[in-house]
Amino acid sequence: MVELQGITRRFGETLALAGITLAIRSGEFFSLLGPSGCGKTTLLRLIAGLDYPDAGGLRIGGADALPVPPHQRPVNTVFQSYALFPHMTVWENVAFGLKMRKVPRAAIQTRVARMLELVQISPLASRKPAQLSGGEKQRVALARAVVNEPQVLLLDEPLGALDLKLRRQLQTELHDLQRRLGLTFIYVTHDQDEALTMSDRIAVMNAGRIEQVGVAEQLYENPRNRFVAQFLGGCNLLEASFPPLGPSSQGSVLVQTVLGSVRMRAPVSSNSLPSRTEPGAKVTLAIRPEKILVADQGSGENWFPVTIHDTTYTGAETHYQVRAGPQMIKVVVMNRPGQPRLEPGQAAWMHLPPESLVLLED
Amino acid sequence: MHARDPRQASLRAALLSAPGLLWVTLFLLLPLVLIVGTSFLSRGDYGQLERPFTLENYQRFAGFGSLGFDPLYPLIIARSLLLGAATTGLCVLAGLPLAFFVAGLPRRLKTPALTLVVIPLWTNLLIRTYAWQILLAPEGWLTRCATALGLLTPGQSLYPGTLAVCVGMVCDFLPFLVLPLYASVEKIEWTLAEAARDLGAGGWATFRHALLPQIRPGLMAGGILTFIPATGQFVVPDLLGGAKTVLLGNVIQQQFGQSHDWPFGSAVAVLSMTVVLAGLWLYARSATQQGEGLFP
Amino acid sequence: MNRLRPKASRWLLGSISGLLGIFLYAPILVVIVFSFNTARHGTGWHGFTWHWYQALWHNPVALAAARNTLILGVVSTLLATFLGTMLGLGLHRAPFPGRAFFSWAILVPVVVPDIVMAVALLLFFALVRGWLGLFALGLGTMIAAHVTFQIPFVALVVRARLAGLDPALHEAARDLGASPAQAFWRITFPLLWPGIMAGAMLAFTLSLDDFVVSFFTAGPGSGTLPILIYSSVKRGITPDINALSSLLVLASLLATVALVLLERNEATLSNRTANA
Repeated sequence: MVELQGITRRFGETLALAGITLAIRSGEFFSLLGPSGCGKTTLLRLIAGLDYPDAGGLRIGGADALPVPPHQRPVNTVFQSYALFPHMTVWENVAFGLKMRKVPRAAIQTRVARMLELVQISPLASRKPAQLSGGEKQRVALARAVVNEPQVLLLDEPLGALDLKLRRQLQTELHDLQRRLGLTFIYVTHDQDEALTMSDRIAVMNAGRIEQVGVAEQLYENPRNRFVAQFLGGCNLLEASFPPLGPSSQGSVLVQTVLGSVRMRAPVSSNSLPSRTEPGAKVTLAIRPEKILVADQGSGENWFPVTIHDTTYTGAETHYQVRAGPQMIKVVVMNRPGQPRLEPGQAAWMHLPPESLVLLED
Repeated sequence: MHARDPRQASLRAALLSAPGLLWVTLFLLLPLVLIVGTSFLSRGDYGQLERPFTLENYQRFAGFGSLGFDPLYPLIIARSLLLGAATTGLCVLAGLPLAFFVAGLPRRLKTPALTLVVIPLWTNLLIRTYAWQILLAPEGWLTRCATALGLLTPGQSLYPGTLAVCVGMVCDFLPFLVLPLYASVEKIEWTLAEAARDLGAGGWATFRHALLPQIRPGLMAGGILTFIPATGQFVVPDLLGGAKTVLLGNVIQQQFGQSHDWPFGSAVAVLSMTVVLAGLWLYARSATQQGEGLFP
Repeated sequence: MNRLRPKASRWLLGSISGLLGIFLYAPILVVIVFSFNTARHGTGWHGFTWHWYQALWHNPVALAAARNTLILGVVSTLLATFLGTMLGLGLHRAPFPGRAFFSWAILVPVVVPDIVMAVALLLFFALVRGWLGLFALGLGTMIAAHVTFQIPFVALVVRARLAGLDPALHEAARDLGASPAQAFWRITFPLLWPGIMAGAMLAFTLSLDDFVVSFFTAGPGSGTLPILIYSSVKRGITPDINALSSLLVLASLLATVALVLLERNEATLSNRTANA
């Protein structure tokens, strides 16, 4: 539905977008996830037509979108600041797009009424934006964009200004709405929880580049590089050296790390994981804190002696900081009955399951 | 706006501004340039403008006329500058307590109080000034009070005179100065003053070291915006000054009025403008130094 | 903050401010009070009367001056608002060569002493009259002069108002299907309108209060109220002049009140903060 090909945008000296290539499918809930300044909003504005790339191509619905001005693109935007017209009522705000496209008055009446019902703001129809709460304004902004039934809906961190509870509620509503209407959503956010829960696919962005694109599980379990690994959830990094200490057997391989030798899945040659065979190459492994096991004792492959440095009880989980050799490792354990509580200063053992270790590209 | 073509946007902006700019160029910039040009011309026998081009007008204004050194005009310049300075000084003295008072009011009273201060600014200066003729008249009770207090000898009156001009000017310019001053005072961080007190500073020292630096931008802005127009004032010295208090503004009026010596009057006007532009430049420099833009 | 200053100095500040307030308003009050004075001369109070206001009605000179003042004010305000608004829009919209220079140049009437402007215009009109025969002094030249010092104020107010508008609003309109022209007329302009009105009120008040520029650019028969007041005052203050002045003050005050109310109204509508 939306195809970006080598999109580049500069602002003076700064390179805001460096050759973005992306394909977003019709009917998809697609998220652009990244920290502030990574270019996600710039990209959104380019799709909307509010900005223009310095290089690259953009197609929407199969047609070249670049020569088309924003008011003629089949795209609508929900702005971060809502941008509701302060001198118009909620009704007039929502009807605006339809009016601009000269939809007959009767049709406007029905469509606006239906949309207000859908986002549950019908009683607010004759209020002005200044009289609305944050959540209500958000719904009006949404209604105003969706009522036009655009091919693509762009949402720029629409829930950023709301409190947690409201945000959670609206996340579910947005997701349901998208499913029901079958529109293509492109959603910009810096909140990884939000992206992970709502999206069909996510593109993680950093400094004008796309680091990785995939479904939530893919990104979480198999992050491509350090940035993605650390952006989505907690992560421990382990330095290792290639080539492996021995040949692959049964799809796993032994590598030398600072902790000692570690068995891990053999890296597969694919687009996202090149295998490194140069002698003496230093690589980084990643493992999520909740995948690591700790116990009073343990032995065998991938078991290492550690000292408990710090423990934090958070109700559902216990977070440990353990010292393994020269390194500090973070471990998260679900509190289950019968599980031993380990105290700071205690000697213990840590297990790194081979299938949970991920080789990062940098 | 389609971000596509910044040149198109530029052109549209220029076209929009064009009528206004043309007007301003024709009726403001051009006349001012003509004044500068005229200041180098000579006066003909019947008062018309004549060449040759000459620096005589400026020389006369500096006191070096054809008859040797005549301190008349240098004195007028000095008097105007002094009066401007005195007005500014008095306005600062009066404006500081006023600004601090309004800044200390509860929030909902601040804007109404400030509006009250500014309202006189929107009434006709002419009216406000001649009213001082009434207030300072020889039979008026202000004069009688002053005589009773021994500040005046009987028979002397407050008006006309330099004091009356001062009073009129301060009355006119006080709101002018209070506004930017208030803007600075409003933003004061009182914790600095508390810290100074805590460290043992007395009242005056606290003011000088903790508060004064913070309100400097407002003082500068208000001061310059008061001093510049004050030196070029015409109405106030004309109505309240009597024959002895002649300032730059009065000279200009005379030369373009009864004396009909337009080249000379233009020279005086040019010098007045120079003071203004110098002041504006100073103001712009201090504003940008503080990081405040003049334009949003 | 109030912890720092004891009650005594609050009182001191308050009384000084009170005295200063009286000082600022004394002239206006004196004029108004004395316009009701029965005595023709002198500063003693001799009793209350409406006489002088009634006399104004039958004073053809005063009526003519009032008519001129009104025409001058309205015409110049309309012209200046139109030109000044376009100027404010143009200066705000996009950079163009000369923008910086002109942004500064239009500040000149704001700071330059009015007498300098007045004689500059006098000279200009005289020269053009000599070469082209145009610009005989009269209401026309006065209007031109007033517009010249009104435009910068209107442009400044409009520009400030524009800068306070959330740019996302225009973008949202475009996003929803409005062409640039539609987005301007349906969104930007209605939100700008209170600012334009404020600029117009400001311009009108400036015209009403102007004396010096009018004095130098007026012709026979085109005298305004301030000019009339000046020449009368030169001959000696009389209560009918006080009456005339009081009316003028009233007009200025009404315009100012309208301005303040307008400011208050639009502050609630279009702020960036209200949209966040």
